[in-house]
Amino acid sequence: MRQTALALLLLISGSGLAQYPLVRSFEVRDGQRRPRITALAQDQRGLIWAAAEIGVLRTDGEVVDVMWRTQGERITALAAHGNEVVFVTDQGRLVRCDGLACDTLLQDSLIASSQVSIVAADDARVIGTYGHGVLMERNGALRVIDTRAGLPDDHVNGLAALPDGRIAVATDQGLALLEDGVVRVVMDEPAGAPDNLVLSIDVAEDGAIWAGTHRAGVFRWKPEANARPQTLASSWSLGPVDNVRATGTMIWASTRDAGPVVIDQSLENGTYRQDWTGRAEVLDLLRDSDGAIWWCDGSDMLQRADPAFLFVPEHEGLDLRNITALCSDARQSIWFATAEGIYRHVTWFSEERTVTRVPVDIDPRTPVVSLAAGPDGTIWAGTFGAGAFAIAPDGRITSYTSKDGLSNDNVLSIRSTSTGVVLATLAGVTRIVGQELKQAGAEAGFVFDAVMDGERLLMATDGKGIVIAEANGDVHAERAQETFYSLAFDAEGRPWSVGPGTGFCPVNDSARGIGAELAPFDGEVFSLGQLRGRLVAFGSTGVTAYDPASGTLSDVTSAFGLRDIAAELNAIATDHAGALWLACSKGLVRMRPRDSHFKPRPVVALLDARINGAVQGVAGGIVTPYDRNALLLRFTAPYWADPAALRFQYRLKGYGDRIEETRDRQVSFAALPPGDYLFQVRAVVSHGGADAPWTEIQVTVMPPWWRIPWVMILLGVVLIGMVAMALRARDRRARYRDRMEQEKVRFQLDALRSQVDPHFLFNSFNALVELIESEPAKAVEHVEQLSTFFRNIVQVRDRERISVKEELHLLDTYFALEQRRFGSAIALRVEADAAALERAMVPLTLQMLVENALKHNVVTGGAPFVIEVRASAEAIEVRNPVRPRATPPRSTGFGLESIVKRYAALTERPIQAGKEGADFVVRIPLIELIA
Amino acid sequence: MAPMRSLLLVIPLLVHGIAFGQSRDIVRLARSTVSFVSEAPLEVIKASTDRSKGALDRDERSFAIQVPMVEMQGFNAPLQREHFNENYMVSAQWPYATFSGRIIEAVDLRVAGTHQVRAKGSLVIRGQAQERVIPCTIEVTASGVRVRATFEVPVADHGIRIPRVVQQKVAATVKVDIDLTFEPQG
Repeated sequence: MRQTALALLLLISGSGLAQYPLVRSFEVRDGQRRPRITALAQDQRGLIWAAAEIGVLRTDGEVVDVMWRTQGERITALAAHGNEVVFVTDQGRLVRCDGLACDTLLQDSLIASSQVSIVAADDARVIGTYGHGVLMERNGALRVIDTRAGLPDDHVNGLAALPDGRIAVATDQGLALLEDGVVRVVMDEPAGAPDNLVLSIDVAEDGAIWAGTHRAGVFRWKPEANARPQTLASSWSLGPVDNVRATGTMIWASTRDAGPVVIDQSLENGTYRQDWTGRAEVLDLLRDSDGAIWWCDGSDMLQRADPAFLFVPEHEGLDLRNITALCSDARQSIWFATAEGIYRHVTWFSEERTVTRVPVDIDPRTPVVSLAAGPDGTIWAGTFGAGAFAIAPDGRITSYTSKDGLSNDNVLSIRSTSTGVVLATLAGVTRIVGQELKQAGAEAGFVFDAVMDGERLLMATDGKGIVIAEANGDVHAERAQETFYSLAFDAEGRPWSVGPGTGFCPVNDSARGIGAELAPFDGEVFSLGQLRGRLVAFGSTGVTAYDPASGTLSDVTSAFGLRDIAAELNAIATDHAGALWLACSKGLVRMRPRDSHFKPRPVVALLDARINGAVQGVAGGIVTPYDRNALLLRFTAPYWADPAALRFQYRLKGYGDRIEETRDRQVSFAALPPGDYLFQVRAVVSHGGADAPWTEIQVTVMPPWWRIPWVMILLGVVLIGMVAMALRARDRRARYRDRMEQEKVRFQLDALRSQVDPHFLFNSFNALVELIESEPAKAVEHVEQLSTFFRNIVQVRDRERISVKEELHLLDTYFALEQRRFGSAIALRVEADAAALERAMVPLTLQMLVENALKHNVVTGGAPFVIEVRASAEAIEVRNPVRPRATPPRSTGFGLESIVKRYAALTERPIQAGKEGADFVVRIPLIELIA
Repeated sequence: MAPMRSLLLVIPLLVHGIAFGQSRDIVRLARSTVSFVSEAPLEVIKASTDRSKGALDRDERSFAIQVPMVEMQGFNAPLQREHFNENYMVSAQWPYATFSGRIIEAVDLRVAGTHQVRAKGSLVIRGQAQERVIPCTIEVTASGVRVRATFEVPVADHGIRIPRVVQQKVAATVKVDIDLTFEPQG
């Protein structure tokens, strides 16, 4: 929503009555669309919700959120409760919306009519229908309260909730009060109501019911036993009152024909009414939490009127934008002077002609620049050039000029108290006590303002600081080089002064100038006033308030609607009711602000979060996994005085603690690393004030599971264990390989050694020699056998395992050679299962065993030495009879031992070797051919 | 439109004096004049009809009246009537204007006398309903009930748009006069 320039609507009406409260217009847009707004509500955070033909909108004055989009359904009533709203549609749907999501509580044809009203409570919704009485919804169930239950009529025009939870119902036949769904009291014509046809209803802050009727205007009824309704005087002439809202002492009514009308019933002398907007139909009125009134008229514009500020640019033909002096008296009157004369007016403005011109002629060359009302009713006027004069209550005028002892004829300020009159002039101060004129502070030169602080005389001077004349005659100055324009007392009676660039200066502690860098001290300063305990400095660049009790400075320029004004010095007055009046270029301004107008900055509300685009609430903080860490936070602060002027400071503690400033109402963090953060945000209106409290929310981005500390520790332990185990296994394997390598080498060595055993060679060559001589053909065969034998040895030497079949073949070759030597003394008997042939063993094992057998036994003589080899699928067995030699042969001792070691590396099954009866048996387990 | 539909259902019930099987004191519209005047600077348009239908429940003080647009007579020219029906009222789509509601004041409609009362109800013209409270004069006589009222209808309330070129000829607010006499049946 772009908000239009401050729209101070000025209506020059034919009656010569022109006055208006501070009004601001807000333009509500949904993209390019101009929603037509028909109803309003405000939630607890201060955001405004609006029902329009496109759905339900929520706005903070800058940003518009469409909270619910309608599919052709029309919203017939809207109400807020806490930070939720509820609404009903012409399809009979009752919907609740909490700012994140909307859910339909129920749908019922009873509420499908077009004239419905609604109020919401903690656990229930109360719906007023036209024709079916009042419906109470609780947990999705409806209860009907109609004429059978005592309701005066089934045609309900409006509802309002009392502070105690009772519901006031406006019907076609009077008012009724519901307590827990039971009709308790009926207020109709027989009971004293001015009209049965009650069209609208509101509950004021004080708990009183205000009812707008069809033909009797507005009446007030305190809903207590025996209380009589009081009709607001003259409101009968309004016509049918379609909407009524009470705020403070103001009653706002909207009628079909006249737009919003405000009636101020605070003043003893009656009411005044003002049609100042000229607007047509008002569809809904809303009183907001600051006491301002909103209305909508079916367009995209929302209007907000703040009745705390009344602007009167002209009245009864008088141009009030050129007032030169202003004061108030104790009798509800405001006195003001223009170039034309001095006038008196009551402190309210009505259609009655209440301006009185004081019968005194003013020379335009010597205008009245200051006015003061004395406690005795005398009005004192100071002129620029013609001294001062006093108008007694009886009209008698007494003149004082320099000839009468006045220090100067140019009087800048007059103050009148019970201790006398103080006149500040261009040449010091003159005090008039009784009939006596006393001059003081001649050395002060130009004195813009002067007051008595007890016995001390305080003077705001031009370039000589604040000059203080003590009771004992001592004169001294504070901040002696500076210029001060205006003096005022705070609620504790301490004097303060302001001037251009000075800030708020406590006279008794002039070292301190507070807020000197702020408006209005950066421009022209006009006057200093006191409002609700706060000092308020007015100037051309703005208005700033200072609360001496709390030390709070607040820029109230927008809240007071006083931007870019011009005014005479000290044209300011406080009336008997505590309202502050200022005469400026916008006319006469009456200020009756509430404390909320002095809020230095609005409180920030966090609206929602979008995590990777998905909307979620922020209550209780945000917790999100590491892979959903694109975070957008939305926040706002309702600052209706000037939404566009609002800035936000934020920081994300834990991410970069720097405070950033933005005008945006959202902040995004594209990829937050896992961790705990604290998001803090606050609003800034015009200047620093870094002491503002933060609005906070905890944000936690969860680490991925493998980054959770205890998981990480566990993983570390497991990893270290695995590495250690792997290292150990590698170590073991390496050692094993080393050993294997060693064994293999040793085995090969054994085999070779046995083959190049000199005995073996010697015997073989002897046999060869014999054969060469006797049987040369066999010799050739023998050499071939030897050759085959050695080739086989070379071939299998490096292999880890060979098949049993090959091993048996090798054994045959070997044995044939041995048989050359031993002849028929030895024999080899081999029995092998077919299954055994496909299995494997370490090469040359059998040869080595047979060789051992031949080596260790007596082979020749007696029966042939038979070596039996039996192979089954599991094992191969070498068996030979034990016929030990007398002298054991020299043995390397490695034969059997090295076989055992090599097999140990290949199979778990052991090698069995030993005597079995008369035989020596070695059983070698067979292994798989392929490892 | 929902109120219109329900109203059209209600009227026959009222007219026949039977509602929910209960015999009620219902008087039927016997004679009626409904007229309107549009007083624009350049042209005065007026027409009236006596073909309205309606009923009044003397117990409940509720009523319903149905005014047929096409039966409006008395225009200055046939072309004016054609414009009225085709351009403004779209009578083919919304043939009736209706007003149904009840009398706020607790007057006895069986005892002879004259009362100033307010009739509150839903005024449906051109399919668009507007809540209206209309002050009426009710004259109760031995033969029946006579209701007279004069009120103004802003045409914009009922979605009637007046083109700029004829703004001098058609008034933004039309004055309506009604004079209805309800009499018991038979």
